[in-house]
Amino acid sequence: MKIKILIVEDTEDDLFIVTRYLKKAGYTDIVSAGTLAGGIKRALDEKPDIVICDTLLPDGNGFDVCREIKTKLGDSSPKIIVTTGSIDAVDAVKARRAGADDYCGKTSDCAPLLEALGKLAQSIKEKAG
Amino acid sequence: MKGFQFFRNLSVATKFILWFLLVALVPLIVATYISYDRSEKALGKEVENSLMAVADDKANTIENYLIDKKKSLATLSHMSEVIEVAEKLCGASPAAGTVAEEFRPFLKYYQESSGYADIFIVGPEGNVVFSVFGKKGVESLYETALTTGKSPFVKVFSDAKASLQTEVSEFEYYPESKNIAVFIASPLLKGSDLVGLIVAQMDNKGLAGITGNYAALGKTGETMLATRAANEIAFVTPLRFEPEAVFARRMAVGSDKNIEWRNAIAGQPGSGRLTGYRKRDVFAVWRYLPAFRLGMMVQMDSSEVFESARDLRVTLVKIAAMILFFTVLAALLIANSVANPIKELTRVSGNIAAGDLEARVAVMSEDELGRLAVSFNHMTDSLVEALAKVEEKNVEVEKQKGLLEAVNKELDSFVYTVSHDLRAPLRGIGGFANFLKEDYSSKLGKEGADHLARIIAGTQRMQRLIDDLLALSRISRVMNPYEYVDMNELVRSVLARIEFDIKNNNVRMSVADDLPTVYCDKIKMAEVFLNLINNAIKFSSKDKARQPSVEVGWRDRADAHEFYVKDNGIGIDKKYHREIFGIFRRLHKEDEYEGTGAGLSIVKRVIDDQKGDIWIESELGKGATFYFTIPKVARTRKEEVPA
Repeated sequence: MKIKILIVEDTEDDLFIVTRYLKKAGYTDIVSAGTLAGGIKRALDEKPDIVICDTLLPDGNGFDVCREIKTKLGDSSPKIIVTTGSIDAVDAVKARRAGADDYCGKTSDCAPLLEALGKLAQSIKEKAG
Repeated sequence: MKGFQFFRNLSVATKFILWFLLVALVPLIVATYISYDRSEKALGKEVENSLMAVADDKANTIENYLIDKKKSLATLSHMSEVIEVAEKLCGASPAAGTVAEEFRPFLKYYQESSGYADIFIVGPEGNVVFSVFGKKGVESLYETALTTGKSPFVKVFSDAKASLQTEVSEFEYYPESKNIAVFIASPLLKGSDLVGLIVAQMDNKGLAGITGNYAALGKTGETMLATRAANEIAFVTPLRFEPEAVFARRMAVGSDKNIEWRNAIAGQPGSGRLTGYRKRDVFAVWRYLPAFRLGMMVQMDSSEVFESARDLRVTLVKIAAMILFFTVLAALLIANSVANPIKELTRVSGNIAAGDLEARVAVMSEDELGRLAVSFNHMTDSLVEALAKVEEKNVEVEKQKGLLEAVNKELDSFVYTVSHDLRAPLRGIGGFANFLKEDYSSKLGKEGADHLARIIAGTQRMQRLIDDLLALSRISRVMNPYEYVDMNELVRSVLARIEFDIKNNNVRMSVADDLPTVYCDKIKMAEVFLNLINNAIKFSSKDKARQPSVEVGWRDRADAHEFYVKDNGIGIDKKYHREIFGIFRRLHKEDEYEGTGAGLSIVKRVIDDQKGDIWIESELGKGATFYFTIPKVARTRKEEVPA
């Protein structure tokens, strides 16, 4: 089964890097949004399997994206990974409270993100059978 | 000590009273005792002297009285008329009856004027031939007396007949008539022939008259006369408080008692204190009266003697009571004059302590206490001033605190900005550099590839520097609540986090299995162990010659728990021991050991927060041991430590 991924990220460089690493890792079905509003809209329209969401967005933060999607889609909502450029541990707590499925810091090699993504994709595939 | 404490805890007034009493009472008691003792002795002596004078006077009176009686009879016995009459009566002439009746008025007159009870004329053979009060009644009595031979009458008759002198009989008592009698007998001589004897009978009325005179003898004093009666001593005259004692109260001669009476009758005069017939303590003087062989005793109750002394004592006690009263009063007044200002001071200081800073002590005097009150008020003024200053300072401190909080918030946002914004471009640089390496390394050539590798290494290093800097600032900023933490569990969780490194480096970990429970910041304490163990692994794993070994242990010190993390690595030169905990201190070349050196700084900050100590024991090439202590807080009582 093909995993569809939505990246909500306003920083062009980060979007480019993440996209490249994801593609390299085999995740080819990728859509993206640069704002909170756009992110939510695309999540509803595109029905991705996994949403990767930055904490800082021009019109809000990733936790709100997380919360909205989870509220609006309920059981059918995608898995959400919150990524942050900060190393503040408080973000992890906030993410969990907002309903995120995982959380990781941003790095230039995207290793933590790929690891988290791998775990979630695995569980989705197992669920789908 | 306890009694002493009790005294110290008494109120000031009570203490004053006790001291005053001590000061006033002791001399008072001594003075009272001395004066009482002296007055008693003086009184005793005085009474003894006066009793002795009375006794001498009485003895003279009685003796003269008795001698006078004796002389009177002797005079009568020498009268020729008496002798003639006696001759006629004894001669048993027929006219005897007539002679007797003619003679009777004369002798009766004589009997009355001399105070005799009766006068007899007795023949040489003992036959009573005449009596003033009629011959008939008495004759038989004396005849009986003569035949029994025991009566004083018979004895005095016999004595006078034998000695031809005037003789005095013993006293005799007649229970029926309750009368007492003593006889005086004088021979009637015509030339050298004994015509008969004249005998006078005397009762005790005259003597009782003398002893019954209690002049100079007070309320209890008296004069007593006694005579020997067989083996006893009997009173001859009525006693002052026992009129019927005549011959009724008798004292045995043989016993140890009544030595004074025995002495008196035996002719040994004296004086002293003894127990009288009324069982009372008496002063007594005793004498012997030879004329009638009588013992005389003059006595007076000592209670009466000492009555005046007792009066004195009562007066003294009254004076003492008054002195006591005034002493207590004075003590109270003085004590209050001292205690009241102190109480006032205590009250006002209590009010001030309770928050009434307007309260002041009223200055009532200019003595030390007054000055104390002034100083106290002065002190309170200073206190109020100081409080105002403190208040001012507090306001300033509050202001500074607000400022500090604002700065801290700013710092927080700065940290966030740094962590987010600074890392973002770095991430971009690193990411794109990696892409360059992946996609274009073949086109860059050897030199270009090397430069690119340096860029990548630089960004990675920069990344870590920023991360460490943030970690350190977070450690200082974040204050987690203290809790009881089981160090065994804590170290286990830390080891789980670095499991990969331990396995990868083949480290032999040994952790004591009895680590204590410590009251601390759990998260920061985990950072301490994490950094120290990481550090130990890092430095011991570079010596490829032997297996890295890291040991965690502890020991109990009186006031703190002391932990250590020991490695067998390359060790640290002594000269670096102090500065090793400074931030970004790197003692080794960058490629030798990874890391930025923030770890030990973080450890030191945490230990400082916990008010503990941290130090290192190491020599170059001989491994290193990091020690740190966590003080046992007062709250770390055993019962509160979870098992």
